[in-house]
Amino acid sequence: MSERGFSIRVPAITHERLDDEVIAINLETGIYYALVGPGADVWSCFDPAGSVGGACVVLAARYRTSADEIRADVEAFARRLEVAGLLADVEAPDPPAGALPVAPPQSGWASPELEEYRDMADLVLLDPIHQVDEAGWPHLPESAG
Amino acid sequence: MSILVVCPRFAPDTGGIETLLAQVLPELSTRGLEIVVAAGTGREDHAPVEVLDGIPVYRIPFDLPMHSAKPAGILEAAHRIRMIEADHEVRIRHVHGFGDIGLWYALRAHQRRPLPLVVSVHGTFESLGRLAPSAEKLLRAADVVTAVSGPVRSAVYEAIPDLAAEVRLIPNGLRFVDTAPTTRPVAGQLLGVGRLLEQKGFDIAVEALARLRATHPSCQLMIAGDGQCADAIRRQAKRSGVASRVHLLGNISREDMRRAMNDASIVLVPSRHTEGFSLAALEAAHAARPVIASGIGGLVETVENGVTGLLVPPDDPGALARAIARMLDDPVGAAAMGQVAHERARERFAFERCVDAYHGLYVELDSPALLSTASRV
Repeated sequence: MSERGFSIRVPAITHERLDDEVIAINLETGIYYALVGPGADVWSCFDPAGSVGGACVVLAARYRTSADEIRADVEAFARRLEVAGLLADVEAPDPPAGALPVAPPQSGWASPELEEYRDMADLVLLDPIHQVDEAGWPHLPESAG
Repeated sequence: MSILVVCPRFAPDTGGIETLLAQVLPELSTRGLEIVVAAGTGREDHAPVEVLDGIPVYRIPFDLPMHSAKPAGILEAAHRIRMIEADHEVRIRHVHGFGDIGLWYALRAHQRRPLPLVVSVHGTFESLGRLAPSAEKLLRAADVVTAVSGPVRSAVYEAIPDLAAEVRLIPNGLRFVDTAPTTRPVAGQLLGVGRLLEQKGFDIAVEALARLRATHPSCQLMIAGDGQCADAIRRQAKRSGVASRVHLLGNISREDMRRAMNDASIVLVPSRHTEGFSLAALEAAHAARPVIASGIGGLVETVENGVTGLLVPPDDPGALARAIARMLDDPVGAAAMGQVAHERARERFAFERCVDAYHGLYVELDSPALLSTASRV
């Protein structure tokens, strides 16, 4: 029987990768997330879906290590992403992992980290200079002078 | 030594921080520092990069992708900051202003690549309700926090009592206009300067003017600045029967500002909250004009009550009207206050002292012994 896996919870989650960094936004909660390096690579392995085993094979090749060596990290991180509402548990994905962007092999695997920003709505709203309507910046509210 | 200054806006936009940086940064660059600016932009006519007074200014749309939840735009903005830092071999980050989305990008940059970090707080935190966690993280990550006034410094310590970084007081300073004002004030001419936002309280000034209609019929209110409350202020002036005596000047040049200050007999700073310093009050002092301001935040330091001007409770048009009447009825006393303000500003808010303080800070932070401290996140 194939291994179960995870998939990114689109459309609730909007995300993008640039170089070694991923920004993901949970549109249901308004929480922003940042993942860098190994964290971004794990994310890409689950984009759109992948299994932990499949991800470990891809990541082991990228980081010149063994899949067994990194499995506990990848599994724990996937669970964390699931708890954050970024990933959903899915039936055996096919293919077993998403592709990583082309890059030379990396040396030194490090436990992936997830940076969480729960205050983005506050930050946008607190700036009195940038008061905007629902259409977003730079569309000023109709009442603007 | 190269320093990246992250700020909400930069010249030619107007505002307190923009006015300060437009003077301080070019002066710092003449002292051998390479200053690079990453400023937010909300205007489509801003060039993505330009050189102003010898300072490379990169305009980055901090707000739009954040506001509209576009990860690609957020990544591009963060990436641009990294590229700017690499191109200019930036060794120190300096975040000016505190209460805009630029602070998040500075925090991200610091989390990815710690550098010595300075955070300059220009306002108190009343309007924030609570300090956003990202803002708190940035303050905690700073090697040095600077405050533009004592009340701002107190607000930082109140918000984070266990803050590890030192909070240094660096009052704002502007180039002093050496020559005394050449024009006499226009009797009864009041001037307000600032963005037309609710927090600036210009509606309170209009209401005060309306209350003086009978006793001081020649009184006029000029307001320099622009913002989303402009139409509301016009409507209010019309409703209150003082439309012909309220003049919205929009954004004006530095020269026109100096002229407006010279023409004014009193400068009003009727802010409701978050006034950390008030460069308008300092500019009034340069022009030897007395100020009537709300007795809040840094205004209690910038304006000495009964000495260089009068302080009134915020959001109290009656009190403001009484203070205006008191000064208009005693033009000699008001002029004397303006003269004292002129002398005190020369001593207390000297431009060179402000520039020296920032320069000294950078030199200190660039010393190898301190570089190892740049790891707090």
